Amino acid sequence: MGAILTRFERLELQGSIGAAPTVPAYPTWNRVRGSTPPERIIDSIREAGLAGKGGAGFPTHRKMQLLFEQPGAKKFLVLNGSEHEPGSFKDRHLLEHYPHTVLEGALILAYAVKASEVIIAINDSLADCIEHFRGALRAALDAAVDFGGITVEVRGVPDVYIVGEETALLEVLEGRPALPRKKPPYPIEKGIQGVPTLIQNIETAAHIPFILSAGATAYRALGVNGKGVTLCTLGSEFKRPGIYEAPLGTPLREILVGWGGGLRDGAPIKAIQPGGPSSGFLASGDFDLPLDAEALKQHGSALGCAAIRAYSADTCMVAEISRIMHFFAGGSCGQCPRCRMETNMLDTIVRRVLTGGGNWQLLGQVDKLIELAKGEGICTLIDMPVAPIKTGLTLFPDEFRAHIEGGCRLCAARVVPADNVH
Amino acid sequence: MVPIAENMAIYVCMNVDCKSRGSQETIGRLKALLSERGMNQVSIEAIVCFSACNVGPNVVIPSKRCWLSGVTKDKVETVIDYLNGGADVTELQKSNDPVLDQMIFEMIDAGLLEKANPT
Repeated sequence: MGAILTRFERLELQGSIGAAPTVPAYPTWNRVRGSTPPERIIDSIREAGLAGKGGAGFPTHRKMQLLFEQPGAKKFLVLNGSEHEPGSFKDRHLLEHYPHTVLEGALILAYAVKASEVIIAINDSLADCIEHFRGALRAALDAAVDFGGITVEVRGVPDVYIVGEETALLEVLEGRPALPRKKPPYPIEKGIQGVPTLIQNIETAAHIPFILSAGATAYRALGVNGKGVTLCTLGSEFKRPGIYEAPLGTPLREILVGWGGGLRDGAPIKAIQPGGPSSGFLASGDFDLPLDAEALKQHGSALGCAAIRAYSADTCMVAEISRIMHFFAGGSCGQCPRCRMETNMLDTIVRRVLTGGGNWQLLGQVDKLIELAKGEGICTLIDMPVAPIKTGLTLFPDEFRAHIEGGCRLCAARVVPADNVH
Repeated sequence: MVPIAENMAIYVCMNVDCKSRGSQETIGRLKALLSERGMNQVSIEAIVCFSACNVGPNVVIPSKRCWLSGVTKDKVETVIDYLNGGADVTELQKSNDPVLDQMIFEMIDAGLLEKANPT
């Protein structure tokens, strides 16, 4: 058995979708639904160590087990393809290039948790992607792939960051504004239409057919650290940007330089965020760390959805951190006062420093704001600015000092207008 | 009326919760009364949400180190009288969270409200 998806193959970030793929026979689905009890499938996922690929990294088998145990004849599986994490294109890539792998994984997941209805949520803004995936779904049905009574529906959802949060996604799927729900009850207990609902990321589903066909041991062996693989996105700042299937445990340097080829502008990489804008910065001294959730967490960062952003030595990190703080201030739904306060205050503080009106006393308020907001949000957005601002202040104090003292040579070199930093 | 001698700014929260509780009307009434009483040295500014949403509309007067909550338009006259040295505003502070009170003035002391110096 080869790689599960695209291993070591570089794929253009926003290339054309191309022709519809041939409909495969869905061999793994056809085998397991006839011969493998749902409990055995969940065991296989547990043995494989599959963790959710949407960013939180929650063990997939635990959510599956919880839904499996829920009473009731009607249950939903929602695959979250509302990929709003800046710099991440992996879910879109799967939907456009591997729709049948996603569908086969969805069917196996639904069967294992006894869900009779599957909803696949895709950003409204990706009209071509939605149409392409619907085409693949129709093609599978036309080819008489037996879904075993499971219905699959493709739904467009608003292109709003908070829709990536699973309960906000449920709200928009039910026609309401994208506001995260208070938990409990969790979606596993009361989701779509008030019935038990399992929400998984698109990529998570795409790993399932390989695990069920090659086995958990083979899946684990794909990883350098025995934890399988993950898709990661290297941004357009790299010489070789694209989506890569990365063995977990691969040293970051190998990904950044060996695969990505370093930065397009030839400058050294000063820092990275390995898991999207909410992950902590890692400086070049950490590039020998493995692409591994635990290792990254121990160093104040996160694997997240493995959207790897690299910053060159010529980049002003205060400007970048300001951009990130502004993003989260705009991304907060405003429902939780402390989240609104924290994200807006952090945005204001860093922008003030960036534009020359800041001081150390103001930056000294950052920790107090974070502490005041801790645990006070319905969802995790309240935590998202924390790692980038804290690691940024730790790793780049000289750049903050330059702005406070009015002498940032990096900004001067780039002539960034103050009103154009976001 | 004893006119206030200093230039002064009144900060009103215009975020969604305070707006829903009437901060827009509060500002309208503030402008009208300030104009009526010739208090042209008092400016009205917006302040970043400091999460006291449940007691809004919130008004902060940094020069008096004063946060007033629940300042609906019918309370504006009390605020104006307070600026002029009269009126007890204790009633408009009874719902203030002391933790937030400390935080907002620490932020102001640290320069939160100073105008940026675009480079």
